Amino acid sequence: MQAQAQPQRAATKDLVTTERPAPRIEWLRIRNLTKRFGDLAALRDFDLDVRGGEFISLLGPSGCGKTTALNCLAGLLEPDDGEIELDGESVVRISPERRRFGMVFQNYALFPHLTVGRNVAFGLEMQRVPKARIGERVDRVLTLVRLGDQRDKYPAQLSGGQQQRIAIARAVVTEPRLMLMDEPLSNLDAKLRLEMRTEIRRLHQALGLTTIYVTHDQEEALSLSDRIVLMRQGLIRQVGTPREVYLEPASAYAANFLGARNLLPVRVVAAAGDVQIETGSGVTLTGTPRGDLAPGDEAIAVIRPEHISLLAQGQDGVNTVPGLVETVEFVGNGIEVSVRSGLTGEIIARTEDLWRQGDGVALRLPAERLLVFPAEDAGETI
Amino acid sequence: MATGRRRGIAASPTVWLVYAFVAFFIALVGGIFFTVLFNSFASSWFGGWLPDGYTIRWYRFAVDEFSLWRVLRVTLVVALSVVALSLLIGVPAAYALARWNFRGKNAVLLLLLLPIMVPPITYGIPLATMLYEYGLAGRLIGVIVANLAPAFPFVIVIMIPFIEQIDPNLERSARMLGASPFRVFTRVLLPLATPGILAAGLLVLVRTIAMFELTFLTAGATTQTLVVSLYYAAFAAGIRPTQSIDAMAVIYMSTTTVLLLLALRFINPVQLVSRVKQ
Amino acid sequence: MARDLPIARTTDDTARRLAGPRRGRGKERLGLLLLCPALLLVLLLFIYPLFYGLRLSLQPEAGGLLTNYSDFFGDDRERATIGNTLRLALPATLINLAVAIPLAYRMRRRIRGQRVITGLFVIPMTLGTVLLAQGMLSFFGPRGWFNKSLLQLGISDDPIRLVHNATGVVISLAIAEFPVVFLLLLGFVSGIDPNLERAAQMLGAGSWQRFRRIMLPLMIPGIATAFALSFVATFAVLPSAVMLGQPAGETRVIALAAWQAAYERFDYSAGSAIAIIMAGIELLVLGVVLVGRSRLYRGPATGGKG
Repeated sequence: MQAQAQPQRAATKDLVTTERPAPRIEWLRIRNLTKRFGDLAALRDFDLDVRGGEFISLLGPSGCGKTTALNCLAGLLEPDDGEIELDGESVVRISPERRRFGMVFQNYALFPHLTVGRNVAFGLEMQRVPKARIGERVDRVLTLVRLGDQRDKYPAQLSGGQQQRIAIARAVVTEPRLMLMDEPLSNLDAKLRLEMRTEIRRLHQALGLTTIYVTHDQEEALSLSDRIVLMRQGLIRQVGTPREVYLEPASAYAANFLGARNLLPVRVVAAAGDVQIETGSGVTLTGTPRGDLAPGDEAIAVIRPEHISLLAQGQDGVNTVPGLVETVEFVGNGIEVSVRSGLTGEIIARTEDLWRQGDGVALRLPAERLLVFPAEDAGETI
Repeated sequence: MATGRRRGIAASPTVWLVYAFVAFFIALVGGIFFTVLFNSFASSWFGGWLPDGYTIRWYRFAVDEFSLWRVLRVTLVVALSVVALSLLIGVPAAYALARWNFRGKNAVLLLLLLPIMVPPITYGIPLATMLYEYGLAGRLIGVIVANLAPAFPFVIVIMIPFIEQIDPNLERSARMLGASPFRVFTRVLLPLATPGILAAGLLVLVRTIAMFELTFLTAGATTQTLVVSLYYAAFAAGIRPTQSIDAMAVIYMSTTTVLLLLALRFINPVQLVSRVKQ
Repeated sequence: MARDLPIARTTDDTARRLAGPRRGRGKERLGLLLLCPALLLVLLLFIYPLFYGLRLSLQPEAGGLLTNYSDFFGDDRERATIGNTLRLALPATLINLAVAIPLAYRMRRRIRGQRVITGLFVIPMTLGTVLLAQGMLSFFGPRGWFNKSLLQLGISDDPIRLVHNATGVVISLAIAEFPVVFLLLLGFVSGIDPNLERAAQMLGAGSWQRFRRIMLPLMIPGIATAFALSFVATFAVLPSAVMLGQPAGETRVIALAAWQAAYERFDYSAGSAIAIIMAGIELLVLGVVLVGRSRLYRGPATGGKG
């Protein structure tokens, strides 16, 4: 991957600028950003510090406030409260057309009455860049997104992926101080989505644009971002690198949203060092505590399917429970097995062995991977 | 908070222009309407801001002098017949046009749009001449036939989007469950299309009551609708007191307003004209 | 398995051969059946009368084939009706566009009272031309509320004459056609993807440039349609030209000429000829605008796959 990206990066560097792309801003600071729609607080006390050149994803389900946050940043929505500062300059009171930010929309929002070339030139014309320079820069950016030969076509004549590239080209050609992307891949089919994901990563590396990227797709966020901001109901729930958010979720909600599909309601038995928990059906397990837990507390135990070992029936040991295979799904790079066990509900495990429906198995849940969160999260996770 | 107030004011001048125009519009149209309304109740009105006295005599006068009951009956018979016939012809056609694509569909749509776009007086004179030729003009049937010309295309144009938004899978699943086409139509399609049919029916009712030209060209002395006898009354002004003409106008206006308000419960005003734009 | 296969294929083929085309044909037949009455009626009540009128117009009471037409264009008084009508229809249409374009543009995003306002603008549809004319005669009359207000406010010393002339007819046409023009444009503007405007704004376009460079070009098809419909409707003006104007003079419109020929002189042939000329001008305008619009039109205004 790295080896492949390297030569491309060298090639595009020449096209864009001769020197190494330095971020156009040093830092972005967002404080207390709040937006209400009537009684609904769509965004509450949004705080974030971004370094120049960083790629940040706002991740969460629909209605979590991520698009509201992005629109407030863009200036398209007016926050009720809060401060946005770029290198010491407050931009909250500046209208969107004067913020010099770039934005890519979910439906691309290409101007249907203008050719590709005129679409891309639009921002430069607004900046009153001399005509000759405009042509030059449009050509260069179209080559960068590999659509140099589509200049005179109209948007309706292009495929979805091509339209997306033009939308990106139109935003980056003005050399924006901040790049905002609103679910840019969600209108594409699965294969194109992967391709464009790589493309966005490549452009980010080539141009060094500070980027805020909104998505509801955890894979997209994990693969693209330097840091992920996980949101829910208008609040930031966790900020961290993809690795941190994936491996060290701050809450049962975070764990669940990032693919930990097994959530067990449990009761804490002992909380010294590793936590001892008891499931509804009386099985006792050992887990790793996350947050304040005292004996007798309701709690949620979370584990990823790939961290569960499926063993042959009859094996026992710490955190090992017997079960019966209910369904087997081949998912390409592995097999997902749903097991009915003494634990509450079904447990989904990921394996490479071929189990069959009705097989008796033993589930081993490693204590260091079984994260136990206080139950106050419980209501939100479902 | 400060930003909110600042932008609120910055954005408002154009909104205030809109409101200013609305006020102008209300003053103009309201002025015209209330002039008519007040005058119809005025015993006399010479130069003052308001009439010198009030009376309902002119309504009684209108009833006697203009044979109002007969005129209203004719209007009702014509309008309701036109509504019934145009729904009967227009709804199935709208269904066919909404559900199936075929060669020449655009030509058919254009053909159906023309009677709505071309003003009725244009084809009304040859149409009336034709109806006279066949001895239909001057009779109720002739007035109904002439009014049908723009009415059923209007039903089609209003109904197409209503039917398009009904998921065709509902019909398919009803067929899969063993319903006959007739039952699919009466039990699935008709209930779902009812708001559209009501809206189209009411709008055709309003348009037919308001249709001056076609009725004017085809009606005889005993088959005038309200709007035509209103025109003759106004045209021959001077013979009859204007108050009695205004009384007719108020009756006419209140009928159409009630019907249009009813129609607007089922249909967004923008939809009244949106089809034509394509 | 192997034995089952051919049979399966046969049934499948048979099913396809039987069901597929027949169902398709059945569907077409049903569609045609449903469409037929409407098509027949439009031919009978619209197309046939036009051709009937055309044939009638070519059979004048005296003279050759084109006598009615040469009479119309040869007679100054008759020919002038085209100009008279244009002088009413064009101002009324242009006034409406000039008012409705900015209004619809501003109301593309909801403002307070949006629904009430659009409802208000529909009212002229219920008034009808006759009531409008009747009301205007009193309202704008020398002792009507309009002139009373002007005198009271000291704007003018003498009553302004707004009826019994072309101005009155233009005002009544503008009021009568305003709902259609406004609603058509509003529907069109609200159909334009709001993200296009946001995108332009993010690229540095101020409000005037957003209107000039993005929204206005995208509104052109809607404006063209509104112009065509309003023009054609006002071109056929009859009752208000008679009641509010000077039907013997400057507002003797082409529809009145046709009516007088047919119903006052009982010369149906000449009346039909004038109606055909009127239809010709209307269809010409409709055709030019609609063809020009489809030339200009560039894909949907929604942008992207959206």
